[in-house]
Amino acid sequence: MAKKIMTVDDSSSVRQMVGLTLKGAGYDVSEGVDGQDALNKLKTAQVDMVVTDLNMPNMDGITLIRELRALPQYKFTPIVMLTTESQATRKQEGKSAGATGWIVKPFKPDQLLGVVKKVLG
Amino acid sequence: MFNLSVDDSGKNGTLTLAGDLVIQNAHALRSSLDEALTKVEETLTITFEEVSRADLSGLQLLCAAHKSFLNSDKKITLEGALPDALKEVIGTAGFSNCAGDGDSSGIWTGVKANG
Amino acid sequence: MEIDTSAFTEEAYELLSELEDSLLELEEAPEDEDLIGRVFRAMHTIKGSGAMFGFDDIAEFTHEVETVFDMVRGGSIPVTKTLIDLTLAARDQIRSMLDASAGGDPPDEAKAQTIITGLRALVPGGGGGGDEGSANAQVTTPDTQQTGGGKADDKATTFRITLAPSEDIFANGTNPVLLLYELQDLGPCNVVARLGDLPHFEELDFEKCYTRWDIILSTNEGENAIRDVFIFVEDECEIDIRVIDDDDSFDDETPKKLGEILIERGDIKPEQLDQVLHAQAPLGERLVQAGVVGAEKVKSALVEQKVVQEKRDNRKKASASTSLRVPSEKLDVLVDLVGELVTVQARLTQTSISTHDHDLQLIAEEVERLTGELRDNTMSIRMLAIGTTFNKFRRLVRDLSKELGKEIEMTTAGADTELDKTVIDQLNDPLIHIIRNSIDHGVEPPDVREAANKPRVGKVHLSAEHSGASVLIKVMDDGKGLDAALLKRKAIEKGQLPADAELSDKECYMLIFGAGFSMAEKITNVSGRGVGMDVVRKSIDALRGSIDVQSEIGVGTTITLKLPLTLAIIEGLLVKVGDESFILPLAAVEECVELTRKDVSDTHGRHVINVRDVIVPYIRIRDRFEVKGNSPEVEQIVIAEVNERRVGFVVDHVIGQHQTVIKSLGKNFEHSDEFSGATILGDGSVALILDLQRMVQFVQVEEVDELNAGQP
Repeated sequence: MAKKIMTVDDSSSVRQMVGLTLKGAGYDVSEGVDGQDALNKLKTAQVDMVVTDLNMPNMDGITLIRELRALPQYKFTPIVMLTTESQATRKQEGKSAGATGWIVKPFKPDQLLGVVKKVLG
Repeated sequence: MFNLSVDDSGKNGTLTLAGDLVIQNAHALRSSLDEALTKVEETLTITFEEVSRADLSGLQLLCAAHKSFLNSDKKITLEGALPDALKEVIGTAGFSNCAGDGDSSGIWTGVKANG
Repeated sequence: MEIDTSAFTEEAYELLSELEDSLLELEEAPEDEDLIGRVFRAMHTIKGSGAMFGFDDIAEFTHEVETVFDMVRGGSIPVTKTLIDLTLAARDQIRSMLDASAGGDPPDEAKAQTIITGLRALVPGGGGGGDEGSANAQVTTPDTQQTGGGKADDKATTFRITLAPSEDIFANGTNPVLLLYELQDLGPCNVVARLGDLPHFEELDFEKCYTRWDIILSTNEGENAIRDVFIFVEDECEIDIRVIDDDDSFDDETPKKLGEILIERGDIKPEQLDQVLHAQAPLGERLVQAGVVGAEKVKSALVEQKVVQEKRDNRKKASASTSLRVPSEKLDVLVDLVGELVTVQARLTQTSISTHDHDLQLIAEEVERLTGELRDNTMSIRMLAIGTTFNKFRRLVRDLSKELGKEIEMTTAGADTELDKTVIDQLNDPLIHIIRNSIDHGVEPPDVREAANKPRVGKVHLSAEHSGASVLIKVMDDGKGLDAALLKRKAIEKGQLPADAELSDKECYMLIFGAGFSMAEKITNVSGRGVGMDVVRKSIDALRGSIDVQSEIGVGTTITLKLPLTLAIIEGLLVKVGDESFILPLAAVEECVELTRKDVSDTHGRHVINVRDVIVPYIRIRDRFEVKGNSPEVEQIVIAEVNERRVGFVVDHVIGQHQTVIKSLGKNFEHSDEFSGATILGDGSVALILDLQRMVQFVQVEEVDELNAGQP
């Protein structure tokens, strides 16, 4: 069974890029347009991994990570955040919120798949 | 998922493990092992044939349970073949000799690959 | 039409020509690790992106070459003439495979096979292609065992790694065993789990990690590669990495290697290394000083080095001449400069006319002609075909229709139509919204379509075409069409329209672009939250474009976006109000009429004028922007078409047509929505460019509504 990954980003092009790359590698991909949307969807449909942007309307990525970690079913799920180079402190913030790892934007499909393999196996 | 049966004498028991020995199921695995530790007086036989994968949390639990059995002068034996996925994770995680620190043997000690 | 693969083919052709250069250089310098690395990376990239873009044959074939070069890189295969010949042949083969994909002759399969066989024969141990990657851990002994699919050879470095994760490492989703798998990929690995900290079963918290590891790893990769494995966990683990055996220490490479190693270990930074190296005299001088070698010989060697370097540089330049990649910022600067030139040229023309100097006027005309050409050429550099954007939507259409249980075929036309890069970039989101809308609300489910005697498979057609100074982008569907009456009712229900509003069908259709307007009965994943279409309108407004909707119930809907070809320069109409100058976009202007004091008093102060028996509302720019001074006896009304309505703009004087180079207004004017920019006039003064649509929107609320109410 294909592993399920949700990509959360308010930019549709990022979602598209992440989605296409992961689908191409055989993952089952769902999308969230912001933190709140993702949280609602994730509560009802379990996924194996979450890839989330940090700056988003409604609910930002850090809050999403915190909210997910508080849910028993997402306590140990790999969550990877998308950061920009300038967000070193946010990276730290994300890690302490419970993020498993990060990908620095912009990234190439190969890099994304590398990180997914790293945390999801 | 995990099934324990103990014979009438209470001496021997069989624990059949199946599915994912991963952290999400660790609570259930712990309960089963705990129950076996309490109920079985001499030898616990574990079968892993139906196990599809395991993670570090699962390996740690099994290892600790094994030590606990040895400390109470009980025995754990393995029955049936180990699934390849399980063998792979044992090897990769360096649990082939999980006692590691001492002279007691580990739970996987003596387990050979097929053939 | 397939997915757009030009990005890949373009890159692949570039890589192949680089590859050829690298191989020829490698033939001359077979020990050059840098060159070997370059060849390997080129193959690796072609393989990787080839597979992503569906060029499986190329990926497969390239994989074979890459495998061999990985071993060359690792030092287990030497660079020989045979290797170079085979790799060059492989390079040509990949090229012909690429050509074939673009409609050229099919590649010679037999030749490919010969090359692969030849390459495999170079692999030590004979002809084996492939099993070194399988990582079957075997539990054969109670002791430690070697696992790992990575490769290492005599030159490999052996590391001792101790890894002690924090107890809480599971809690952020980390699976430490995956890190060990990753280490295996670097080379043969001995892993021993240390379980001394493992508590008694009764006290064990299964959510905690008690295991530590000792790992012995032999690898050709540097320490950096190992550090990379732990990148996400370095703060949560105690990690110690030590070299315990290193066979790869050639004396002649020692100084440089030391620096590299120190950098790899994070002991020094590259900048620091540079600093120290620069503080020293060049190697040649030091050698001469030490009396090791004569100054003449050093000089000769340096000359040789320089010649080789120049040769390489020239080759690189020659191969890059067919197409040139330039950062878009440079183009932006060029456009700015051309803009300024256009401004100065206007000034020159103006001045030359006032001097009545015939010769100067001739020169000014010539400059005008050249400036025009330069402007057009510069603009054309920024033009991109819209096809790439169209193709991005194929997947969207496919996935959305699947999600919604619809069957939809997407077709395109005019993919080679060119638009300014900025416009294309900003078109992406609006088009996504429109297409989503078409799929969600337009095209019916297959059974509904069949019941209505329509083909089961719906159509979404994207097209682009030039129309004067604009480009028309159409999204056409053959769905159920828009129901004008229903749209109007919804808008009235939501209080977005007065209950007695009179709207044409077209005006009803435009309601879908209102903020918060939604037709969906139920909110789907795709659309229906009432966000989206108003975003489309805003984006298109920002691009100075316009939207048109045509629809017929049961037949389909066509949404047309009319966009300017370029954002940087427009034809404007220069007008004056008092001392202020303004520019109106010429494309919107229809005619100019006079407004006398009598006209004003005839309409009893209402801002309308009768133009050939049609009542046209007007906006007084003087009042709108509180321009000082009195208006002249006879004012001018510039009548323009805004949102398919004729609206007048009252000014003091119409000066005439003006090539307008748009400058952004900057932060101070951020809130001045009624201006789309500013321009500099021939005499150096500034004119503001009016955004007619916005002006009408602003005034509409205050005046036009009032007007409507007053009319029968």
